[in-house]
Amino acid sequence: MRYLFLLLLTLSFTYASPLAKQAASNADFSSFDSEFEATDATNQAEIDPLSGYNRVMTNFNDFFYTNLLNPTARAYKAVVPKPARKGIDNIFNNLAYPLRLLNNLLQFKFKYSFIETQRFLINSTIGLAGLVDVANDKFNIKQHQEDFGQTLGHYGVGGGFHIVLPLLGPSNLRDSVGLVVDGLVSPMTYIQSRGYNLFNNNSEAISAKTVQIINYNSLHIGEYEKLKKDAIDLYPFLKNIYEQRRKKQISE
Amino acid sequence: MKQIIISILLVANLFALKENQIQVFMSKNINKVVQILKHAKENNISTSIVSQKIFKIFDPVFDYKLMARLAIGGRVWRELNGDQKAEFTKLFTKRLKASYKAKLDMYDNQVIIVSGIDKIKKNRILLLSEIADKKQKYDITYKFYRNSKDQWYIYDVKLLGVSIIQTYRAQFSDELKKMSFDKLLQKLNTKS
Repeated sequence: MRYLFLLLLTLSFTYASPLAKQAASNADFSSFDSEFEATDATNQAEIDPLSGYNRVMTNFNDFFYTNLLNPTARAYKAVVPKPARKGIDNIFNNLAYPLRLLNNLLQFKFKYSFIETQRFLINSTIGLAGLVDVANDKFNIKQHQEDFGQTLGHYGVGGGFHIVLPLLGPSNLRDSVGLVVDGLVSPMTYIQSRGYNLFNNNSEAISAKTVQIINYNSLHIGEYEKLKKDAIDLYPFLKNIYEQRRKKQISE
Repeated sequence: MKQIIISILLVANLFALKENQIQVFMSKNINKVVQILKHAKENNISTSIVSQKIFKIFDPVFDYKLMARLAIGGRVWRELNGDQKAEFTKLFTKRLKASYKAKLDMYDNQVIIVSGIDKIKKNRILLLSEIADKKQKYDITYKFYRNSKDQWYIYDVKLLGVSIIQTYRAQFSDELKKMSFDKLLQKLNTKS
């Protein structure tokens, strides 16, 4: 019995010996590394011509979020009750329907285009001009977010180098172009030469955008701070998350 | 005597996950975690106690050592001496856990469901799951690999398509352009 016990003990020690483990896993390890290296490369980890500017802008944005946007959103949260803030968020979201429709159509996602239209019709009528997301809450019809950056990505346009935009945060060449195009189409922006404008002038459009952003952040208080805590170095952290996330969104 | 032998055998095999056990193990234990979180929320239990319970469940299937090694990357890892490797693995594991723990108070009665399994290679399996609240669903993918003893372990987790290991790789490689490895260790130590 004792002999058996000793044998077992020795056996289990040989198995667990770090040397044996090391040798076994070393051969296998390169396949793991190449798995991640492939993604490193597609994320353009190495090509970063604006890294100097991007770092400065990341710090600026961080300062802006932490010291201006978030305190404002907190104060706003304290005075405006949650149902009202949810309602306002829903209204803005409903107004972005043309963008989602257009970009779903451009990617030939007809089913999602139909769903988006359904959502818009339901929420604009029963949902009191978008105040209540009835489509989601009652009929469980989920939104399908698409923007022009995703449309470009869908047709194989690479992200290009990373750009941190003032106030808006991480982006890249493709998505910055996407933002401009979406801005030209969105009824929320003011463009004089255009046939349709939700607002009468630029300052109205900017005020609305400001309300939208503060309102949105009031519903997501503390999330940025939580995320930021995970960073060892904020700029590569946010950059990497952004690029990985966009890749996933485009593939969906 | 017999009991000791049995218990040694049990300890050695208890958590060695086989391929056909992955989905059942994960479904069962993710449910358990949701129960723990629900209970903690109702009874105001501190996140340290909750996280200890959760780590006890999942530690046996996470290969933290491999995760640390992947986060720093093979090229750097090979250059490190034994002490550096051990120290880095320790600090990195601590950090991963601290980061997980810091998220626990965000739990607000979401449900988590295991939606399936995807065997992408003979020695790689993705366990697909979703965390859902009233409004939205978010994907969480656990990446498993098979070791030479036919046991399966988690080596990465993807949230909304964002690989945790990848975000660390990007940061570490960036940091090591600016500082030595020992400086990086110091930074990890002060940050965690």
